Amino acid sequence: MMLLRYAVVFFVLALLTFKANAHPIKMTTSKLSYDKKTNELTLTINFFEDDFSAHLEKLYHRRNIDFATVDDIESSMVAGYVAKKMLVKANKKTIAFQLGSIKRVEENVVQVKFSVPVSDVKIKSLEISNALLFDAFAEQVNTMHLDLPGATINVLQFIPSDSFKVIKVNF
Amino acid sequence: MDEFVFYIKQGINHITDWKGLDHMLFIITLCAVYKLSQWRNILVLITAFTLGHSITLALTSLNVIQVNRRLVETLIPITILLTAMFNVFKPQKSNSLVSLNYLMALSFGLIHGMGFSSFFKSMMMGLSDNIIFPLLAFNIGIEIGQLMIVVVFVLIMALITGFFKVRHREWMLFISGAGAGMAVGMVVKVLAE
Repeated sequence: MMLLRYAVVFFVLALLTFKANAHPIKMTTSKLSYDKKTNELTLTINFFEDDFSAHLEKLYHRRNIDFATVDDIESSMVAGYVAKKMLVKANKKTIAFQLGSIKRVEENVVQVKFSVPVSDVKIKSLEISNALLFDAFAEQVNTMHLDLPGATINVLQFIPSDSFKVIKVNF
Repeated sequence: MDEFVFYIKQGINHITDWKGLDHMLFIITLCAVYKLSQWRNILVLITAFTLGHSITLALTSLNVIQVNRRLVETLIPITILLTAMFNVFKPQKSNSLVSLNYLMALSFGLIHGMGFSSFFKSMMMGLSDNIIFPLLAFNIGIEIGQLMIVVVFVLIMALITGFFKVRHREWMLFISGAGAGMAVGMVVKVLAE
């Protein structure tokens, strides 16, 4: 019985002392791909809807953003936020992606799609800066899949202390 | 090859992540009842846990089964709490309890596998064409991370019970009591969100 008291004491101590977390998943997952047929570069970003809407609401002082029914103002907010936090440069020039769509693709996941026609100039390298939601969560991690001609790597990870990558491509 | 290594690292980082102690805490609590001399039992126990979580990690990631993420997040700390209670309140000497331990590791492993898949699916989110290869690498990473946790835990246990002469039952009660306390904190936090 005496020993059991140890367990109770440690139980109470741990309960009061530790703010233990289950695994928080703070992540965006995106894909940068090139379609040779249409000569278009497409950027697809999946956000967790609760995290993204809460952050946009806080940043832009807006209430109850519902990605099932986004209006023009909310679309501009999304495009503006992504343009500010995610930069892709080709041959040292920033690529101006155009917003294509915003839609809920599964429960709590909203997908934002951008695209841009690629000019005839050869692209040999891309500089990618991805700081999406780093201003919202310290534990945010951004995964990016690549489907680009000549790329020797097909997945990247961005964390707050390492949010910039340079990759070699050939298209 | 880079992609394979990337997902192995993700598996290791996920299970050894200090910001999310749930899986680590479960493994530690599960192993707390064994002494260093019982390392074979620990190995079998961990294999049972691996078998359990690999099944549901694969089934959930491949969308064969669908799970409610919030429910899984609640159940994971409950597995820690139950394991800790089992450690503390089980009769001290009974052979049938050894196999009960393995059964518990296997069945609770099924729940943790669903938790692993939440993270894995978040990384993929339908944006990668190939899922089998990353899934295999991610699972290998989890196994490596799991072994790292067990080795470190067993070394600390050996130091405390061998060098500092703390009785093993006291050590087990310390780990189980603290594990249960942290698990209750996690359940409360998940339910409050």
